[in-house]
Amino acid sequence: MSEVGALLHRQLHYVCGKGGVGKSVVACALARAMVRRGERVLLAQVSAPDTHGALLGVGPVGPEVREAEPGLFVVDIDPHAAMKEYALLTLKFEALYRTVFENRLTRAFLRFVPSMNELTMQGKIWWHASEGHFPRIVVDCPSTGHGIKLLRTAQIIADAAPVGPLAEKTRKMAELVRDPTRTALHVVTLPEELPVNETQELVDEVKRTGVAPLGIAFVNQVLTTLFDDDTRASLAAVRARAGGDPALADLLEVAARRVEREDLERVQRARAHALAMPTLELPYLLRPRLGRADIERLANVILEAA
Amino acid sequence: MIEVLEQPVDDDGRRALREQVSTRRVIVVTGSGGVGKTTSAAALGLFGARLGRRTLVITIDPARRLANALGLTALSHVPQRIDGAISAVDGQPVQGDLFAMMLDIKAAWDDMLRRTAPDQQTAEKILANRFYGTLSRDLPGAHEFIACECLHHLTSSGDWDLVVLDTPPTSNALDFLEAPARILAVLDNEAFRYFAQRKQSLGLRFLDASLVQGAAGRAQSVLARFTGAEVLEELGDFIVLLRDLYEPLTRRTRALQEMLRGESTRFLVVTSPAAPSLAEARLLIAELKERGLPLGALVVNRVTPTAGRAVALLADARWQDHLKNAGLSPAEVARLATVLAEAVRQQEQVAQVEKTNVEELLERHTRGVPMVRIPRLADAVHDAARLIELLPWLGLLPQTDV
Repeated sequence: MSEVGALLHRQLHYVCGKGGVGKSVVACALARAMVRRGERVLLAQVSAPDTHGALLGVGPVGPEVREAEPGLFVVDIDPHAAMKEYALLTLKFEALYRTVFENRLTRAFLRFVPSMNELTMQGKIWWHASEGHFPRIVVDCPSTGHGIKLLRTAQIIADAAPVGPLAEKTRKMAELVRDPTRTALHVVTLPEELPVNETQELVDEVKRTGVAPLGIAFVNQVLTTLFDDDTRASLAAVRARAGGDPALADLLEVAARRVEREDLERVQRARAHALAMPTLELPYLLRPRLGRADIERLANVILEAA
Repeated sequence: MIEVLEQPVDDDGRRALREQVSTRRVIVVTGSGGVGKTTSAAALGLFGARLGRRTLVITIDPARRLANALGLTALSHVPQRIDGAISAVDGQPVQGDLFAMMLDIKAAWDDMLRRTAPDQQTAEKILANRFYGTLSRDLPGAHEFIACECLHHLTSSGDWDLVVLDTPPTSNALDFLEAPARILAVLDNEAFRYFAQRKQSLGLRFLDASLVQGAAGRAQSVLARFTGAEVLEELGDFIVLLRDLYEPLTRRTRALQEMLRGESTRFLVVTSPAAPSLAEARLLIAELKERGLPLGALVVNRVTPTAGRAVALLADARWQDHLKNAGLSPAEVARLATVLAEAVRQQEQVAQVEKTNVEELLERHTRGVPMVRIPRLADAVHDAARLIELLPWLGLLPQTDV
């Protein structure tokens, strides 16, 4: 089995990356690839505007877990709902929950307990993972910085509060997230300089903090290579001998742009491949808004690599 | 309508942006991550300086992109003069002064504390508290809070004609404006006052459940089951220490909020022509409106030009005749022709997709807001020469009155 295939066998998949790199698209494609392998998958977004519904063509995604189609469950984890659920689990009684958590004093207080929102969302993911309903969970993380913070929250709290019930729970969460047999942190990038720089920084931070085992580096929106050495030589000949032809001006401009772009992408793709984790390139789909058919196409690419 | 982007035209969008750069005191550059926000901020700073204004560009981005864009290797927490380096590139005098700085979050927090705490001793106690680290580093909004605090500090110093702020790349880019109010609300809330009062007047462990009466007491003791008693205890100490900071911080926050809503400030929304980025830009615009913050202009960055006349050329059945004088074999001509046709098709398609995206997802909803389009330059902008290339696209055109 390929490295990619082995990684898909883990239970908990975090998909991280800067805004605009196609994180949600990759999370959806990953979830669909797993469903097509016969797995029961929970695809979670974290308190974000609903993008999964449109990408998968399955209708709106809300705070309740919903089986959108056979094997594929979707949810938007909302911090307040998650907090309430967690509190109810711990306290057992709705009345007690109301006394404590609907209390203005407590609410104001909880806001200040650092990163409580991230913690409850992470706690909810942990709950889904340990409760065993879903052999596969794909989490579409918030954009980087924040995304990694979501993962680190458990550890931060465990460090800040070394004793007490919260500490114990957070330590367990941190353990699951760090477990190389159960968790993979995938990164999504574009074949452009800044996104690759930022991905490099993200990967370095993940390695340094050991917050989670690294999974796949997805290089999204890769252009097809059109100009090989031969066509480049031909192009150079045309430019040298017929470059003055006014009819060709815009065409040569388009070609020059494309060649330059392909060169830049090649450099950045090479850098992404050097990230010391399995790399998977996804094609640039020249479409205004991606939908189900596009997700299936990307899922195919993932399945072929597995 | 996006035409072949060969030369920038002095349209309404560029005229509006030029007016803003030449008259406003604060320009806040917002947008989602990865759209060229930092580069735009740097270019606008240079724009301001070229108009003769004493300009400061502030970035909070630790990726050192602003430094790179300005042709430097690093920026520091102290405003650094950079007009010399820029002028050396195209030989044109900058006229005004251009400075840039990168906000060091930790240093800025420490500075703010020392500036604001009633005495040195309190400041040092806060600095040593474990929750201070959490507050200044990890609490959502902490970076944004200090960015606002810094913006206020710098704009009220009277040292600058124009301050350009490159906002942090958060998922919700306007969070930074709410951060001060949110953090201050924490300091002012009932829980804080309650704990502060108890700690001070009685010197009690505030979690001593037998002494805490009523619903608040029950809430606390249950809360302790969640977080552990020690956590609340140390947090209590922290709260007491922070109490004296509340009033001066509130005053400054209010002043800043007023300035940001006033005539001296304009917000720019930067976006790429990709659908998710445009959707975020729209959310951002709606939020600005909701908060009464003045939107100056939209900047659509990295627009792919259309393939121009190449499309018409390829429609001609005999277009390959133009390649015949290059001394290539018929097979080579055929292969090159195929590749060229595909390159044109793809560029045209991308250009059309982007055009549709910009029209449907942004323009249709923002009638009357000046919009400036900047073509995708060959490479990511990371030196002063590239930055200068951007200026005409932002509206600094030769032979224009400013």
